[in-house]
Amino acid sequence: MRKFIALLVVMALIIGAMAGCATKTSQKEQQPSQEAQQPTQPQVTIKFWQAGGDTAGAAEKMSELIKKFEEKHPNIKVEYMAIPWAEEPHNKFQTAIVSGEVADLLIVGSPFDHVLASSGAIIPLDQFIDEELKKDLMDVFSREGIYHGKNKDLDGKLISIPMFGDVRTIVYNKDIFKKAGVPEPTESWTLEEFKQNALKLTKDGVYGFGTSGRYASQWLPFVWDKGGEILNQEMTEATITTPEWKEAWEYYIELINKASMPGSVNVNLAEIQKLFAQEKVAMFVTTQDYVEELMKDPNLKDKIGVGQMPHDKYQTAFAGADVFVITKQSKHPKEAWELLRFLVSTENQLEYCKTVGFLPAVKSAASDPYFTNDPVKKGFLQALEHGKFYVKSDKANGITTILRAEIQNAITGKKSVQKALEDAKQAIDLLLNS
Amino acid sequence: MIVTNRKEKVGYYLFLLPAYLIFAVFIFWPVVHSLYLSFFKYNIVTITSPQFVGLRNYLYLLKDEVFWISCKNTLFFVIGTVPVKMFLGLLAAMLLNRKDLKFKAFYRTCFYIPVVVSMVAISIVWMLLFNPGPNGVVNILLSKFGIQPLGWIADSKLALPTVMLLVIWKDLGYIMVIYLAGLMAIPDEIYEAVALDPVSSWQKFWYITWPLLKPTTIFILITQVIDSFQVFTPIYVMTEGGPGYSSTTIVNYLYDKGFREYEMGIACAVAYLLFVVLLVLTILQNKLSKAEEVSYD
Repeated sequence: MRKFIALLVVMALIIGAMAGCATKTSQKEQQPSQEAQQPTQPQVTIKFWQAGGDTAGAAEKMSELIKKFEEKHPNIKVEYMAIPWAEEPHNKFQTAIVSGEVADLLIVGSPFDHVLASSGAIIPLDQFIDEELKKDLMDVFSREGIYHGKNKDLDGKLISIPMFGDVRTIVYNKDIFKKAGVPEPTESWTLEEFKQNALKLTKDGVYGFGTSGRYASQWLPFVWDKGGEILNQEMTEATITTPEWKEAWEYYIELINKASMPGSVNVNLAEIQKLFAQEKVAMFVTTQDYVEELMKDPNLKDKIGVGQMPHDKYQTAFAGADVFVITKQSKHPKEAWELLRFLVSTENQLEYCKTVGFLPAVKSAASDPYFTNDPVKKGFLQALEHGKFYVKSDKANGITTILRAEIQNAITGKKSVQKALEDAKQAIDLLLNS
Repeated sequence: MIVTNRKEKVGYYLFLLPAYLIFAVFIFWPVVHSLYLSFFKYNIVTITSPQFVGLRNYLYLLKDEVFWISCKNTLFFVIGTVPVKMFLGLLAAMLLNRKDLKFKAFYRTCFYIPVVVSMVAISIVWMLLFNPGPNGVVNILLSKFGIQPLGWIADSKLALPTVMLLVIWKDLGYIMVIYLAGLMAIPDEIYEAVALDPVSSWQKFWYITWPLLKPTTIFILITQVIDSFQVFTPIYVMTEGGPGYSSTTIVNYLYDKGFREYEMGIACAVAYLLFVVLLVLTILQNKLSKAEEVSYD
């Protein structure tokens, strides 16, 4: 036993020594570079991490833009890193924050910016933003970038600015509509019209509205349309046992059971996309980058139409963005802002969005002919005007799991809609207060 | 060997040190630390330092309906896969151990291929096969025989069994190989001893093969039970626990709590409950195996 303890002590000493060495060398490495630059300008190195950035060519384009930035700002050096979505970048950022090693500037997927704000890990951007950018930012983003929640220091403040946005709207196959004698979607079609069309289109092995009970983005706009919200404004309680929610879920469940393919309750989105490409689905809700892929198919190119979400009361569309945040741990927030500001300039926004196929964050880029002359891009930009983000709670992921399970229980008939909503509310309230 | 020289002893420990270090940092420390964390509220999003809450995480689990559903599903999964896998594995091993069988190596390789394939990749293939939609291969085949298409992974009653089918198919080869080794270790003389007596093949199996395979069976049982209690990947890929909670297992629940809701304290508590259950089961199985030591003499 004594030997074992001795061994442990030795091990502890060695680990300690190794850790000590590590910090010493890194300090040594930093010092000379700072000294060397001091005569001219103080050299600042900022770290910039992007969650995702795994669209083809995206990370390369970003590196290119950063190089341009460094040429313009010789005193700022940027260490850029993109972490693919498959590697759970948000978890990595979180771990880095806990260990005090996080980067100065981050790009995260919304609503993770609000999660970071709740824990006080980021700083408000109001202190940096200029009038020009304020006016130029798309309305949806200046609306959704404002924090409301339990962190009173940030309440009502702008916490994030997107690098790019995306929105889900109706994409349809004109050919199938024509063959079924159904009029194409108008900009003001109602939920009833949408349902009737979807039912009429469902025949001969074609499904009118391909959808999946696995994703909140598929059904939430129908709830929003009636004025339903997941949580109350204080984010302390679920508000889902209202008649609006019941009505919206019943509406969606009828759609999924009558106008979507078998197995829709838990189908993967990729499968719906495949069925649409095979012309077995007439309409579905998807993002722009996927439609751009479809447009490459010469057989489909002329058949694809982009419509707006049907609406009765409030027109919405499920939107999201990959947004910049500046961390509280950053020692160079001003330089981080410089980089942010550079990347959301009209020219760079255009250049980046052309590569990745998403939508720009600023109006000046969105009004470029590249977007306005293209019916697909135009349709999505129009949908983005009505864009609404998912619930901005730090428990958003837990809420997603609960809502998914309960809507699936309601779709499969395991529970009544009322019971499913009540159970979901109970579970969400428990989650919020745990 | 007894080491008397003190210097030599130090030398040995120095050689062992890298292994000890790796063990200490990557296994011992996380295991102990997660037990410690299971008594804390530790949401890595909302709070930066853990708060001691005593047994609250464990009480939360007892109250959480989803945890119990996931326990029930996991038990169903273990009971539904382990015996089937072992029965089929033994059957395959016996068939492939026949002296008159040709192309043995070929068949053995075929059975073993699924073991080598990545679980994620094969789960995706399985999803394509058991797709309940119009592109589902199995449903298309069934319809050729006039059988109504089934909901498979989209049906709350069939989702978990569909995953179980995959796991049985994938693990079969591994169990077969272990059983094959067990079978080949049984000396021929024992069979030769009864060759002149009027015994049926069934009697040979029941009185000679099965008892002599007992250590192999116990080994497979223990490892497979532990493995099956920890099923995660195919469910994560194929159903994400749905529809509803119908295919959520304990480790999926743990993952959701830890890495989607960031409730590390609760996730650690789940891990430790699972650990205790597995420990008890393993001790029981070990006792069982000790009680019936097998000898070839």
